[in-house]
Amino acid sequence: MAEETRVGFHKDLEEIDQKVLRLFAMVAEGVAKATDAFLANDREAAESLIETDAVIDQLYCDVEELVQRQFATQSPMARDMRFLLSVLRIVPELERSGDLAEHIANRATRGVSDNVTPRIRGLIEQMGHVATQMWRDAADAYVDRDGEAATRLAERDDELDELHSSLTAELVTGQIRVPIALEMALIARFYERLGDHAVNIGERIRYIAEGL
Amino acid sequence: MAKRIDVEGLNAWYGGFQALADVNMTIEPKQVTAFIGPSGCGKSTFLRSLNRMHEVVPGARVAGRVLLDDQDIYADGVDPVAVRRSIGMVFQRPNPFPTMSVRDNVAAGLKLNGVRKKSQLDDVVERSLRQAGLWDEVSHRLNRPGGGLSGGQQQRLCIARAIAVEPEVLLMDEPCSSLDPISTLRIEDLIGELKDEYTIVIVTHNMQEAARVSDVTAFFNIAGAGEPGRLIECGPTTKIFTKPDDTRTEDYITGRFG
Repeated sequence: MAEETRVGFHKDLEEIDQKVLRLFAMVAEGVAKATDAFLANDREAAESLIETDAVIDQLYCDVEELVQRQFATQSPMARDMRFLLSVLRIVPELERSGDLAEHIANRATRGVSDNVTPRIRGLIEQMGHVATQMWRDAADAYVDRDGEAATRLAERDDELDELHSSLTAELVTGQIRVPIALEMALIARFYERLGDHAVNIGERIRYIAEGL
Repeated sequence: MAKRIDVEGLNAWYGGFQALADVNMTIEPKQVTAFIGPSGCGKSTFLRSLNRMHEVVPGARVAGRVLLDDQDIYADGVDPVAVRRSIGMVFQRPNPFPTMSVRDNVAAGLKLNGVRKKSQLDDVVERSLRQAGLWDEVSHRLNRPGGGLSGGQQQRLCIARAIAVEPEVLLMDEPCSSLDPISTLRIEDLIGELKDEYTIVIVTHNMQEAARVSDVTAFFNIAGAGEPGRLIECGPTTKIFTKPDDTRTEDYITGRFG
């Protein structure tokens, strides 16, 4: 009885898993680096992150093609089907989140962070911190197939939403120039969306783990 | 017409070898129930126990109860032939009477039951062939030998023959395994139509087929060589193929163990 069949198929699943894992690592670290680059006005770091985004886009296409091939040729079932379906839904969230990190880093090249109040800087720092933690948690949850991460991520997302509200309130006090305030509102929105994508991914991981 | 089957504590042996141990399950009417599992897991033995075909093998025996709408088919005094009349069977390889005409193939069971009236026989032949999705293809050659039809047509002829005697249950033992893909899909569609009137049980090695045609799937397995087959898990087909409860089911359907 104890003999594995469909070895080639399982190798392909492993390859997909590794590529998705790589995407997770790139996005999670991308969020951290983007925040650092933005706050430090580090153009070099920002530019390297912008280059990384092209790699993310390519990996996203590779994974989609590999998954499509499995559905076309392998009739995946049970945990394999749940995994592949979830991957198809997770990778666009990863790709979009990679874009958001890139958008944040992009602002570092424009020197936006030099023109904000210490309180706004602090709020951005906190948002970056929470978003990075959420993404690292999502990546760990993916590795461990931890279905319970969905609840944790949703809770942390509430924290991010509150920071978003605080930052928005700060921006409308008129202490900073309107073009800078607009840029900061966008950045706050990017972090808020990064949180939402991590929450969505938590739900998909729950489906892989529990089928719910 | 369609009846429910309740199986209680069913065990089956071939001589001294126990092929099946302690199976308990309910097979609902007007549904397709598929049995899946590796070779030697007892699924065909179980199928054959449901209409007392198992006992025709020398030395084979069955213990336990199989209730067809509360009537135990293994009770004392029950005629196995009568059981097989109400629980029809379609086999792996199409087995029409090769030299007998298409019409006589379908009417064979009725004639054995004593029906002689030609108009009645003609009605049943047409109704059965229509139900089996074969009428349009053979209506102009009802008097030609059944053996002259294609494999897929022969299998549908066998289904027509089985339903001509108006059974309550239709058992199918890998009915598509010797057919080409298009014939297979036709039989699968036919199974979907027939379930409105019959209780259908199908044994298949093809998991995609079980997923396509059945409402309920039962997974049988053996713990090792020489061990009896056991029912591991039985549930809605969508659940079995999406998120089965038992890891042995999951391992089997994802090919982790052959």
